[in-house]
Amino acid sequence: MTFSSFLNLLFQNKVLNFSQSSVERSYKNLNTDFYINEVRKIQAWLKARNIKEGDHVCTLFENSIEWNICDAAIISMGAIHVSLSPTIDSNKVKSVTKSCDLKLILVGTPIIKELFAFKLDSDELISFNQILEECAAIELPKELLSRCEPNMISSLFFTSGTSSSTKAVYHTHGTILDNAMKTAEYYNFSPDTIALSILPIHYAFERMYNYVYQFSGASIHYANPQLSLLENILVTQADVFCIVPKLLEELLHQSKEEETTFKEYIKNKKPLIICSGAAIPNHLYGFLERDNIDIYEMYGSTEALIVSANTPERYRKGSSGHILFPERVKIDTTGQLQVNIGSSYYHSNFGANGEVKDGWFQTKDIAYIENEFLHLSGRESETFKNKEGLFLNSSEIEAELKASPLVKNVLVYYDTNQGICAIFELTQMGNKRAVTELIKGYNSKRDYSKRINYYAISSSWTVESGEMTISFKVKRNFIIQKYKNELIAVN
Amino acid sequence: MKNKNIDPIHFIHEVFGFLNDSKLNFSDNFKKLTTWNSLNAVIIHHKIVQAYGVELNYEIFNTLETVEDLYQAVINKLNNAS
Repeated sequence: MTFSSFLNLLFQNKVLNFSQSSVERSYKNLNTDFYINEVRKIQAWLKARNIKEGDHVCTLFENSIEWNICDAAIISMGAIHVSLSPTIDSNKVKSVTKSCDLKLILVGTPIIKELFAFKLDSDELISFNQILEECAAIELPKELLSRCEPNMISSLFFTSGTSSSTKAVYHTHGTILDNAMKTAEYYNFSPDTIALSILPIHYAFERMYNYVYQFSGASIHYANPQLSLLENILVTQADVFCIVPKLLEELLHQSKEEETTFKEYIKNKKPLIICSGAAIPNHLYGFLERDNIDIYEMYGSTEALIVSANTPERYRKGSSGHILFPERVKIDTTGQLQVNIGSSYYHSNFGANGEVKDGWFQTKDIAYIENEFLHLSGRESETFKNKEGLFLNSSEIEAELKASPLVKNVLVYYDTNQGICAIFELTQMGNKRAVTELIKGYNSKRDYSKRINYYAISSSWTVESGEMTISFKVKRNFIIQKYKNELIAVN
Repeated sequence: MKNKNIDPIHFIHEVFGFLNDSKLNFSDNFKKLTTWNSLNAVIIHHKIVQAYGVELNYEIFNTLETVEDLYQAVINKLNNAS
């Protein structure tokens, strides 16, 4: 099956629903007829612009039905969809334009066009409304263009870039559909299911679940940027949404303001909260248990898409879920998780040396498998050997320090000259003196070789200031470089 | 435009106009718009640069609670620059 054959099925079944928040803060329903009709228009417009099979078309969109329409139009006519974050730097777009020979850059709204028009030629940027205006003069085909085969490239996915450079992965129609449809089997989504889209849509995690919702006929609601995370969830009464630990923490923080309403929502809806991207901080488990909030962790990556998922029917506490395709997953002799990514491959201009060997993606995650459930125990890159020859895992130290209410985030690393270093982002309760005491307390329980030697206190870690990726993962190297000259010795 | 006496209503219109939210006012929670939606943060940053020529550090955003706090941060930056 390809995406275009899926769209043709929609033609017959007409079960898909989208909801988009309007200016009035209410949601308007957009059905399959609307979706298919708009896809036809965009396809006709792309064709008039001489877009052909294999051409790269870029989109810079917020989460919206317009993104879905463009995605469906581009990939079902055989072109390659390069979906980028509208928060991306203009220079990065220039670099992608050159590397991928982009034929068109489509932008979701005039404000997004305005963001990029400073550095890019505004003629290169075409907004969705502009396309619709131009469509008025184009004769629409009676049927959808369907030019794709399972082995054709569908999209170029960019990684969020926790390491030094962003990588880009080509996925075929077959890979994406295979993955999304297998995932859909894990859930009981139906046209009655309200799915809320919060995380950036170009992020592989959110995008793949968007396909899962579509294949299940769930009603997709796009979060309203005027509202808080909590308000979005309460307004939509979402049955399911994807989240990352950083936003889960924010949600729990916001829920204190409307505790009764939030508890009622959790009690009545029992929402399926799908979490990925990083480990859930230990200190959140108390809140989750107190409020009877179930979190279903999953594991995936831009390279391997969805690898495993916990669901109400297939659940193991502490695991990252049941493995979708057990034959495509293995653990190497060092304990590293490897995933076979089949026909997917990296774009040669975006370096990824040695990360795929004979089709097996080297995840750098340390994991073990128990009864087809995946358990993660750390990152390979987070294990270091100290001067005494001892192997220590920074994530274990971080987890212990994060248990303190003083600490919002902490990054631990090993420097050959300075030893174990910790960089703290503090909560409102934290201050330099309290952190010094925290470290002294931590050190007093350990022998010399395992003690924290240096620390720094950072300002807030945000996506915009560069400490976090758009998927809210910590950019370790960035933070280390930023604060390495501000380290204070622990006396 | 560089004007240290920025009209509050004009400020809300310039910086938050893209949200099409006619009810937004000074006491509204600023953080709630930016903590989960980095596009909002990027647009607000861009609008402030465009309207007032002021480049606020993104790290400051996380220290601001209300729309009024943001307004004050812009005023302070303009005053410090003069």
